[in-house]
Amino acid sequence: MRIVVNGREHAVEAGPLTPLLQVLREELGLVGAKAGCQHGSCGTCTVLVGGEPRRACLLPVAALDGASVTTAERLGDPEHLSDVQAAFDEHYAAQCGFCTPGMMLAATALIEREGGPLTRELVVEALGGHYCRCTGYVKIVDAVIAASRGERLGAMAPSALEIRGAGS
Amino acid sequence: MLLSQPEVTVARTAAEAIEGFGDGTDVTVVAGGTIVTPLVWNGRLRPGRALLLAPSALGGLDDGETALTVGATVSLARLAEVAPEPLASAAGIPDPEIRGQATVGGNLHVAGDLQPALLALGARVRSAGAGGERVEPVADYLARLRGEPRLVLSLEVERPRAGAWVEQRRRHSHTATVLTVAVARRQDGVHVAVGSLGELRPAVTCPSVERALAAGASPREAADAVADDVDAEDDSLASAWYRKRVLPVLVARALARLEEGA
Repeated sequence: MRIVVNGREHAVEAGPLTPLLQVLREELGLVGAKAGCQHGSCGTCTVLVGGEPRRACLLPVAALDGASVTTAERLGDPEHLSDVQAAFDEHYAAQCGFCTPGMMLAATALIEREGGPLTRELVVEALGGHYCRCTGYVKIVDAVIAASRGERLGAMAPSALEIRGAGS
Repeated sequence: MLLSQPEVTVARTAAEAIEGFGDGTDVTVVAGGTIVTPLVWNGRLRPGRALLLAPSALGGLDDGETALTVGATVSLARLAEVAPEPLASAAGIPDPEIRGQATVGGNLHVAGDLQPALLALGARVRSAGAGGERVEPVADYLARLRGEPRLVLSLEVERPRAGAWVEQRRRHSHTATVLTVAVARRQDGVHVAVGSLGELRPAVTCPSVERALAAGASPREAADAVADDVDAEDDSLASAWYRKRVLPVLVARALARLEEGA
């Protein structure tokens, strides 16, 4: 069985009904997708399959033979943040960060599908299956709307990354 | 953690799906995976043999002017785009990720939100299993569901004159529904069904409400008759007492919406 993850093809050794989440984390060492509730309710394991957000904990890997999977590792890195990552950083949309990979992938897919700028109603609907126990959602929704508008605050405010860097 | 993997057959066509299912003995069907995958992974379900349906296997969709035929592996997201009310609203209950992944056939089998909508619409189920293929009303199919393994091939729904849907669930997120009401005005009158009456409890039709409406009762009066049709139970979402208290209100709302849309 072969799957393409973040543009790279992998031969998968796990059994056919093993959830994609376990394959990503335990076999491929990609831990961006988090193991939260593991029955599809919390959204933190969300990845993109063929560009559409899907729950990695619910997808048997055999159903993905030949499919293209994108995880949070593909979005960007601290030096080159994607628009959604930058917006989350600038709007303080992540606190503990456990839900953040799933939120950002769902938001990325939404912006690619719908274009921008997005309405608050559309963002709330699209992220309705993602739980965050820290932020109260407002800053997350603000970040996704800002990303859909192509806004970068830049020098206007210190980002969460900069604040963390200053404190370390 | 999965200790041993079952034998898995992948079906990419309807013929492969029917052959792989056979008479259904000891076969666990997996399509979108939203129900079966966590059960298998957590060891709560230990299938000896699994039939994995690719989306193409039973993915046909005929969006006709008077009727809709939808294959069992069509996603709820796709169904929501083409179905008449109340089926479109029922298909839109899950969050976008689940909606894109979950299938019509799977939802029908787990007392999902499609059940009351399909009952109200008088849908017919085409299935395969022992004795070959069969087409029957969804009510008959659901009545036999526990005793006879069947593979859903497709659903056939005639477009109603009007339809409406009311649900009770928690705010903010796409949580499971606490109660659902589906109503449809068909050629032979108004049909009513309710769902989410308890964990894994199948949806039921409401003949008492339908008779009251046919006899000229107002929607509010007819809705009170729903107590004669349902047998709710306690679960983690709501008590049977709460369900029976709230249901007449929701049925009246659904009937009012039906009148507004008619």
